[in-house]
Amino acid sequence: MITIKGLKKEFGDFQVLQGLDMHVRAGEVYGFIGQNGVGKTTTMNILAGLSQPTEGQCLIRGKDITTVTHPGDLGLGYLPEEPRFYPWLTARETLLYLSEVPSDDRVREILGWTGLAEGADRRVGGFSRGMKQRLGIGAALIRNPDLFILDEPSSALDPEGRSGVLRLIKDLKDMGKTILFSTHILADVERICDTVGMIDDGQMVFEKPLIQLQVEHTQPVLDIVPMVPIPPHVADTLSKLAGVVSLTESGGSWALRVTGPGVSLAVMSFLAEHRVAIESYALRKTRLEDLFLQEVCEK
Amino acid sequence: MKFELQKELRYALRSGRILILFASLLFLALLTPIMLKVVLPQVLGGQVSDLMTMTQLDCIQSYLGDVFEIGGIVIAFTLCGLTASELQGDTWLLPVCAGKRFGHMVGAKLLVFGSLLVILPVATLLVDYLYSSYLFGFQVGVSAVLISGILQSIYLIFFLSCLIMWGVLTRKPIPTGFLTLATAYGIQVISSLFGIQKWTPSGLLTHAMELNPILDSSLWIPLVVTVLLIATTIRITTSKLKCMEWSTRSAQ
Repeated sequence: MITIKGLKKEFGDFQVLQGLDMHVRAGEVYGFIGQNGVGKTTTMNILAGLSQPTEGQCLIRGKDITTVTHPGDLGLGYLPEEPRFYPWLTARETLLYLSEVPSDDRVREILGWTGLAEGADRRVGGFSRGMKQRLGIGAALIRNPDLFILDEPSSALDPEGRSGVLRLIKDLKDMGKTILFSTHILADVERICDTVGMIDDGQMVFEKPLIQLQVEHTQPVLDIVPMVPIPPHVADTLSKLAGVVSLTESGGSWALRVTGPGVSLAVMSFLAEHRVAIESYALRKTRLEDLFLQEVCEK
Repeated sequence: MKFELQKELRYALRSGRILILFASLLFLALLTPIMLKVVLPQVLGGQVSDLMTMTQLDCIQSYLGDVFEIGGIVIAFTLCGLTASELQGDTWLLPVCAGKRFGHMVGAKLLVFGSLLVILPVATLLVDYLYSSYLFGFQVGVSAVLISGILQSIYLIFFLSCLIMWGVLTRKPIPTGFLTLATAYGIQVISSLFGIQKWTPSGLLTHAMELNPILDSSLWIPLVVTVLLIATTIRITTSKLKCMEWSTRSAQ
């Protein structure tokens, strides 16, 4: 559905994208992750036809997007990071205005799907951020495109708002749509994505199906919360213990990536030997967030 | 195009833009006759005011001048955000992605607000005409007033096209207002200095001030020039929009 080869984008002397490659298959949900300022929004703006690439090739359904003169001709649904609506229009009027072939039935259907049926005749200026985000997804769907580009759709929303937006993305996937969405909430990616691509310094760090990523990179992690801080020399020795791959501390809690579940026994024995009392202890698999942090730290 | 027009009309009504323009022009229309009939003689004193006899023609000409000088400022800063705020606030982003054409979006603004700038000034000019006739007596024919009102409105449509163009070029409402005023007053001053007023949109205002009941053949020159200038500003606007980087971040 989307193929990007060697994409470069410069703003003056600053090169945001430095030869990005990306491949999004039809019908999948693609999670585009990366730190702030690494080029996610720039990539999405280029794909939406809102910005021109400096170099490289962007194909949507096999067609080079630089040959398309108007963003609307790309036939995709785009949701910017912070969708801006006319505050004096109601939700219904907004969708009717954005329709290619205005239809009350279609607008009613979308308002119902986005959970905005009750607020359909309220002015958008009084909407919460979550409602605006849902209206934005509805607006992207109004022309019934097969491809959606959603820039941080669930960011800055409360848990309920996030859950609502993720439900809409899942629904779009069930409708057979292709969705490329960027986020820095990695738990959302794990919940709904088929493929994950991580960008850093304007280049793709990895791009793999989520299942493959989990199989290749999943390692047991021991989450330990000690009752008293672990002395530095003990932590240093612990990191060198056989079977311990890495050791990170965050807010008094320690995460130990280990080679296998059996190592946990050796770790507990070691801590007991050094009289480190444990408040809680849990063995889990690595999350995407661990992988993200590892990749960022390695860079 | 129908929904673009509806949207602009809703904006004009719900944002209070129509009310601001109507109230301002009506205020000038009612104030001018009072100023000339009551306030000015009191300010000038008995003997001087006896030498100056004000007529309905003076009153209407004074109102037309006020609309250009004061009304222009009101119009500029009431409508300075027509395109600039759309770009500054990113509200054009979703419509553009939804396939709205630049020509339609700009055209709808020109049609809706252009119509308002015909209806409101002509209506308030008629108010001024009736009120001045009440104070000074009927001295000018209504056809001459209507022709003057329409000529002034055509000039205001040119003014509007400048607001639309500067809004897209600067993306900032207040500079748009100042640049439009500079364009309008600049054309007036420069054309007066070089004696080429009849070749510029200011020529329409000169004809309007004459309150001539018959259309003069020399009117075609400023009319054609004004229409060409409107077409040029709209062409510049749509060309700029077509080659614009719509980056959601650079616009903020």
